[in-house]
Amino acid sequence: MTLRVVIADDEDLIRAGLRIILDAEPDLSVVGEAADGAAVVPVVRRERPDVVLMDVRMPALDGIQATERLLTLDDPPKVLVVTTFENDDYVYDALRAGASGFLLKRTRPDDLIQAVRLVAAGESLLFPAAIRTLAGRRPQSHSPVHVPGMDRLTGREGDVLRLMTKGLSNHEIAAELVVSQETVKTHVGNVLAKLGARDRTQAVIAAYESGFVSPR
Amino acid sequence: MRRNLPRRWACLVLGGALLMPYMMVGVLISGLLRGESANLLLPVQVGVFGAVLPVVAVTGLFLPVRGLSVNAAQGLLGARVETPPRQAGRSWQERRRTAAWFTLHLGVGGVVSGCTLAIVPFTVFMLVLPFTGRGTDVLGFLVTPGWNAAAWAVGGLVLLAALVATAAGTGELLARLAPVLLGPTPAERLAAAEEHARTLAERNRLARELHDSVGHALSVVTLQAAAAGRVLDRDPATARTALTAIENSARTALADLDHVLGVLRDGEPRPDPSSAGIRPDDPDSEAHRDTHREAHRDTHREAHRGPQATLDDLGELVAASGAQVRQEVGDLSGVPAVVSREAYRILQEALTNAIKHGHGPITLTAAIQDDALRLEVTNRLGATPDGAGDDDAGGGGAGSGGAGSGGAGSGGAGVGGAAAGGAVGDGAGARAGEPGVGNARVDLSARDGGAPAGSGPRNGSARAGGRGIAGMRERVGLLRGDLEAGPAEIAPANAGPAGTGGAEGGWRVRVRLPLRSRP
Repeated sequence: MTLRVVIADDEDLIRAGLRIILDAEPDLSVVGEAADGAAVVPVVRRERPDVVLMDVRMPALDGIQATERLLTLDDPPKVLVVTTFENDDYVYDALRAGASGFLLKRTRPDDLIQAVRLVAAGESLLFPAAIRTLAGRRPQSHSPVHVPGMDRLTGREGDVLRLMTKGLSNHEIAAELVVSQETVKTHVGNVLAKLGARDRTQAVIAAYESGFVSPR
Repeated sequence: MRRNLPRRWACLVLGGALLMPYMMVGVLISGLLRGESANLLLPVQVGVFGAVLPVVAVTGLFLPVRGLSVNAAQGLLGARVETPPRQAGRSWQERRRTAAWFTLHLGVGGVVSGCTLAIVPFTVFMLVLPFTGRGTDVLGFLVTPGWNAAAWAVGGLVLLAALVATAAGTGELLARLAPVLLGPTPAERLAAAEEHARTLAERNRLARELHDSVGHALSVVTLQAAAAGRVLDRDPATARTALTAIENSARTALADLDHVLGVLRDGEPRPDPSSAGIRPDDPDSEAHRDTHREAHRDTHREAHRGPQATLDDLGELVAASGAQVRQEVGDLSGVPAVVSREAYRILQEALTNAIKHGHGPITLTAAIQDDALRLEVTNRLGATPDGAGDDDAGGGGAGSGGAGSGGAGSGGAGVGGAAAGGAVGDGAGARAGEPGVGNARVDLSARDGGAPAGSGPRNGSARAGGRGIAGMRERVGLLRGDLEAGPAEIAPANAGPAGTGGAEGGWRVRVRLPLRSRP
């Protein structure tokens, strides 16, 4: 099965570069491009891609707003934010808006390809340190957001979520808590369900936003 | 302190010397009044001294003696006087302080100089007396050589010591008062701090844009290189295209880097040496902090926007302005990105002014000439020519200009609204327009129509809003260019019948931005 990818970036050369890299893979196919955030929605409606590579800073409609809009569609694509700078506050905003993960434009082509495959498979692409940094840079005045379901987590699920914010995989969490991987999978599933999170990234963001874990 | 004494004494003598002309005139007048001949060479009269001090004070109030005084205080007194910032006009607070200082300096200096002139020769004379052969009449006493004269010699030395002590004491007094009376007034500190903060904010913005543009270019380079590597064997043509893109991106980034670093490295961007010595983090400066906060907010907002508009977007800007603009744009490909961005904003500002205050067609030229980017925006003046001079005179001025900008404003709303119809619903109407056109239109109209400044997502309207020529001047100054704005004679554009009457009154903004940063 070929994974369908749409690229949204206002710079032609970035789009072209990404397209060449991705199209060179037999299982990936770039099915559309958009030069700004407003143009990406119709392209996605038409092409029904699996993954959208989304630049954050674009004219007309930025990547954050575009991500929000895409996620209101039926059966939305996975959004992978592609950014020039790691320390970009808007990356966090984009993740909060529902993006599944983010990539730097300087990422090695192999990692880039791997990231697209991962995200398409429903895995999230987590950079725990980067997310913690970004979350930590939120203004001090930023008061915790109430995330429904956060208070319904069991103690064990809370432990799992805490380890997730550190970027641990299911395997590592299992080792840490001395339980089976199957148990961890169940816990993770419960955490996602209770928090209404689409994936691990969203659960981690919710953990920071609600003050369940502190980035500082 | 002891090392300072000779210099401080010199400062006091300088005060005395400055007092001399006053005293001479005073003695002359006093002599004329009393019908006596005046001794102009040694004008020592206590009454005259008291009478000329107010005149000295008036001099201090009205003549620019501050610079001289500051130099004397710094150089001779060794006082820690901050060099006051250069300012357009003098405040009364500053005048009073300067006058007080000038009077004090000349008064005290006059007395000490007089004493110096009298006591030093006296002491020398007394020291010589014991060794001379005959008795001399001193101040009504007959002093004979020998022990009698020795006592007088001791007296002379005591007097000299008293003079030295007086000079040291008054020198110290002046040195302590100098910072208070000659240093910057609170208002001057504030103004200087604001100026400094503004400069910093501008430089920060430049640095940030450089960071963005170079980061961006390097991203392109990385991706294109990766792509070229992938297709090198299969598709050499694509690889070649990628290599060209890499070359161009890197070259542009280097030019940008070169230019901005040139600007940033050059200390103060404007030739304003007087602001040295002002601490930017002056705790007194409330407004300074505000300026900083403002700047920070700006950066935040600006960061959210898409890429900065450059001269490449000029066509869209002009089209969006809704005004009739005659463009003469040359080949601008050699303009570094940073200059291009600033030039775009300058032209945006100039066009906005032209629409606001002028009427009829606007002429816009942009060309490279002699290693400089030359921009010119000319318009005919509106109904009230006076209004065109001050850039922010508001809508009250030109009637036709007002109508024109109103049209542009509603046009912008129309475009935004129409484009928004399909996809929006979240209040981002204006943003949903076509990428360049809608935005620029909103930008131009925002200042006239009072729309929220943030609605123009693209360029610096929020910070430039309403700043007019001052804002342009700032940008131009930062890039070491020149700006001229003033009335101009314009040949009527659509010269109908020959009787229309030749040139009309117009307004012209002319900008020169050097394309090479200084070595």
